[in-house]
Amino acid sequence: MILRTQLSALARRPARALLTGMALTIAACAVFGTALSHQVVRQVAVERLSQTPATTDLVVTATPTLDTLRKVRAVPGVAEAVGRVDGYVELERISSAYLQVNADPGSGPLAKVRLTRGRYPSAPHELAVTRRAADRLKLPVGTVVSLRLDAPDTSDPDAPRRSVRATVTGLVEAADDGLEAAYTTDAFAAQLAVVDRWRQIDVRVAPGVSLDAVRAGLAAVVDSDASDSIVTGAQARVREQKETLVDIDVVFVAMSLFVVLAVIAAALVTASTFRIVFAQRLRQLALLRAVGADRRVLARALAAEGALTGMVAGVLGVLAASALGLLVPLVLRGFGIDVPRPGFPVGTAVAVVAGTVLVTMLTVLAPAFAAARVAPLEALRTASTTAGRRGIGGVRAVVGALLAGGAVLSGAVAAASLNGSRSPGQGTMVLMLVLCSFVLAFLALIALGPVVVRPVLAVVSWPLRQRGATGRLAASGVGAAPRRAAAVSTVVALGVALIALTLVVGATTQAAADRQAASVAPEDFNVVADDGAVVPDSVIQAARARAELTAVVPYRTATVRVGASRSDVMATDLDLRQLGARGPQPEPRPASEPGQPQARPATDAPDTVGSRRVAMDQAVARAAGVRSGDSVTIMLGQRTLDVRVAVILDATPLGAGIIVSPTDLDQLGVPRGPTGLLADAARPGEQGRTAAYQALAAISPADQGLRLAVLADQRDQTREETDVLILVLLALISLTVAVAVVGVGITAALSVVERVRESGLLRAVGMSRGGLTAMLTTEAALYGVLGATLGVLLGLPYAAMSIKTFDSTVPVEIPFGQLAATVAVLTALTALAGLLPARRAARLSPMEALATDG
Amino acid sequence: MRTESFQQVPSARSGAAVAVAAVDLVKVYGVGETAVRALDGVTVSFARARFTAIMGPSGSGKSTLMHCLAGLDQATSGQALLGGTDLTVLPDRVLTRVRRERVGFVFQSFNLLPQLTARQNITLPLDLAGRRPDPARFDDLVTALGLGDRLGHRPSELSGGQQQRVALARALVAEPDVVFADEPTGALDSRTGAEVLELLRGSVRQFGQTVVMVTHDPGAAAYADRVVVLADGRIAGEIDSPDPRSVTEALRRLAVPA
Repeated sequence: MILRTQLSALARRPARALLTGMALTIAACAVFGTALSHQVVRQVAVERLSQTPATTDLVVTATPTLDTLRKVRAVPGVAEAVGRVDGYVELERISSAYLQVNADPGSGPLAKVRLTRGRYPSAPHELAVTRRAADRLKLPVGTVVSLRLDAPDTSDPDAPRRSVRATVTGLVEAADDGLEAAYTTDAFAAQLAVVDRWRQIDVRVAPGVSLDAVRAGLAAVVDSDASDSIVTGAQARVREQKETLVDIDVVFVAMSLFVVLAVIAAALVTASTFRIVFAQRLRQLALLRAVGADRRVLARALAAEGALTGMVAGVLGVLAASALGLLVPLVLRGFGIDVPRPGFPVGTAVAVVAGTVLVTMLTVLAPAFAAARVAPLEALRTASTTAGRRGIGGVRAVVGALLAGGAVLSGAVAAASLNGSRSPGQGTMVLMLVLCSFVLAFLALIALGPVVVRPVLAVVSWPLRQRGATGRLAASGVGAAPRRAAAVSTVVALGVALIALTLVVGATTQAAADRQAASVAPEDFNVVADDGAVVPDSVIQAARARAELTAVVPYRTATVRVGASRSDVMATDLDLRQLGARGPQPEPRPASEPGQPQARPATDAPDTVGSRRVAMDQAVARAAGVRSGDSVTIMLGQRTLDVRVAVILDATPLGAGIIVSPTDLDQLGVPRGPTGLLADAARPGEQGRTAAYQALAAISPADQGLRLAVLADQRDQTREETDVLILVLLALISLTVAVAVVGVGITAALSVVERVRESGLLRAVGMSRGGLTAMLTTEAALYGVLGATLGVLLGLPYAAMSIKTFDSTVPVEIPFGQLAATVAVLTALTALAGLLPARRAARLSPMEALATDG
Repeated sequence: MRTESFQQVPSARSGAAVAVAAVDLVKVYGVGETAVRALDGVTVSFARARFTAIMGPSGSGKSTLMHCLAGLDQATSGQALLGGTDLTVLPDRVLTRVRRERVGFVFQSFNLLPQLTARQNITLPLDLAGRRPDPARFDDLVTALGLGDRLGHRPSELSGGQQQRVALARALVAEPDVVFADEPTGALDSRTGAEVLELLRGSVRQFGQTVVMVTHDPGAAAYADRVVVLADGRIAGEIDSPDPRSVTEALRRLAVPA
């Protein structure tokens, strides 16, 4: 009976039910969507990324060579055998470029590529390339290209290098189009790549011949006693698929962690929503109690209502994800990307709906029991607002304090072990402590929210309150329901804390990488003479004369040994003072570290190198057991030189192990001619860089044995990779943020409904429509500001701690601009979420609003 | 007029000048067969610095009349004149300004904002207009209404009578042309109700305020200088200088159940 009353109330206002379950709908959609995309990605991976063609009968994997291939072909019953090569070849060009080399028949059942233009190579010195290689490396059909052959024994640096010319005869399309790859006959591929880089031989058995007979024949050829070196094509494919799928599964496990976060956020939002919805029906519930409804029956009815809401949300979420699953392949097809449509895994769908119902039940229980405790007398009260309690109960305060204490304690223990001595394996423990502290801190925030929110609100709304009645009213409107404000802004805080964490860690990584790159690649371009050659004086003069170039610094390098260490390191006399704006920095060290001289300021580094005074890379110093200030002997052939280590650098230019003065190199018997040249582009930007590149290419033709490396491009590439990683993380976190913003929207919509009379009164006493819209929108935005502020405050210390866990010496970079932008974006998004309900409230005429029975 | 000091107002506002008037005012709710004529051609005027009560049974249109005269509701036809301005032709933006600067409201259920203190509630209309309250008038008002020691309290910490006195102060603080009171004693016991009515009459006598009050209680109506009786959306009669008995008798004579 009670249940029917509640359910009919629900049926009368379906929009309300949808609103209540909206956060859960998004979460369910994300969960089911992840499941669908996982299914699709697995399918694509199995179909397209398999290395072994489906027509392969047998695969020989025991480190084959060209000789093995010849023998395999001779085995009776072998219809076709194709060697697969996994190697790279360098193009003979002024700037280094590499082609991936593959052996492929080009046609027939075992071919992995399809010819799209020209002719497939049939003889040595012919290549077919992928479209990407043709475009990026400028290798259209008909080009003749010089390829540098790797010395067969790479451990001998003085072995002469040879090069070979090849003609591009055709364009091919491969399964993996993302590579700059060349395809050719197996013999030529074997010549280009080193022989022991053959990966496998794919064998097709002639029709009618027994597989086992051929296998036996192959086993006799392969002089390896490993029994699993010959497998069937099916087995090879299964093995490859397993490896691919494991990789994919790992990615999806990582992804589902973020989905779980979004589900938690949705649960928090929904719990808060139920509280508000039930509070608004307090009088009705009290009336039911007054006419004799049992408390437990009431709670059960409310819980059932919650379960129904959850079911609707789950079903909607699953349907939305399926609709997206149908839509996305269509859109992608428009861009020329062919992706299969996902199926509809019924079991998963049912599980997602059931899971949503379960989560909803969990979130609805506490609000339902709280609402069912309503005193029957409430029904007779005339108070029109359900402002709710302002503070928190004693139990909640104690629990919150305990959680906060736990967070501080575990954080302090983590911080203490960061400062103390490090032992291997301790990092993981500290990281767990940091994580534990973060979770405790967040739970404490949930528990103590209403208490925490008020002072934060007072601070963040201060400028608002100075700006007239609308701002003041918005601030007091949020402040009047601190529990509600806390509930919704806590969820925003969760998302923002994660964003802040990502941004700070990202900025710190980026800054560290930049410092590294600035040291390793101190200028934009590096011209290197081939082994034994020098950079001609004419080239240096020409480079200095070109307006496109600046900071031209010639240098010498030599391979030396340092102290007792066995390994060769590169020594250079590069003059650090002549480098452009960038330059190496001394290794940062915490001042507290005992036994170490104080870290020098970065600006000192260049001047510390002089006669018999060297700068040393930290890895080389560690290997040689040398500390700053120590003396060490440098050896080159028979000559030795005693020098003092003036400074230790955490990264050195050109990857040199030791930086010495020119006179020191002279004493070691290094010839006078420079072996390399650094230069900067004179003008900034891509244009300046291109102009400088062309200038350098023009003055140092390839036949003089000079090669040009664009260090700036390498620097940019590292930067891009970090940026992409940060973007992916932010995209995954944005799911949680989206749930939080929806939560703000729901809260705003519900408070607008409950405060219709207040809106009417404000309009009656002279607030304009725009004013009311602005006030209600501002309230929603304040939830965002509150949450974002709490999130940043919570995220920053944990970001610092996690960085220190990985490397205690790295200075933490705080990207203030990005953090401010995050707060601004969250404010804008939450304001937007509040705009719709605000406009609806403002449209209502004041009289209608006042007439509403509150 | 607003620049004049508080004490001088009565003489300036006395006389038969019209503060608010309705001219052939019609208000129809709904369309077609379900349409209801809540106001069926009402013509009536309310004199400045007078206390007028509008009486009538439920559904007589008395609240609708007040809402139309106050610019809270749009009339279907006719004129609603506030100090000579026809409110029926004004856009919402201007109406908002009119409500803010020229009209004060007192409601049956007080309608104070729970999150604001008594002082903030009182100055709300001025805050919205971006004006500062005249400290002298504010103090006079607060003293006259006996709210001096209650200004820092929130509505939940005030009694019903005190809440209604705060609402009254809010209606009076901007020195509006007219104060509309909608059943101001409906939610109060008879003793506090009488206090509030006394204060309303006091604001007319002392400060020269124009007050229009909607009520169905003959006892409350007796505090007014004049009673206008409405029935079925039409003016059904008027009583000057009423007392409870005359009002009740008049209502009975007009065959309108009180």
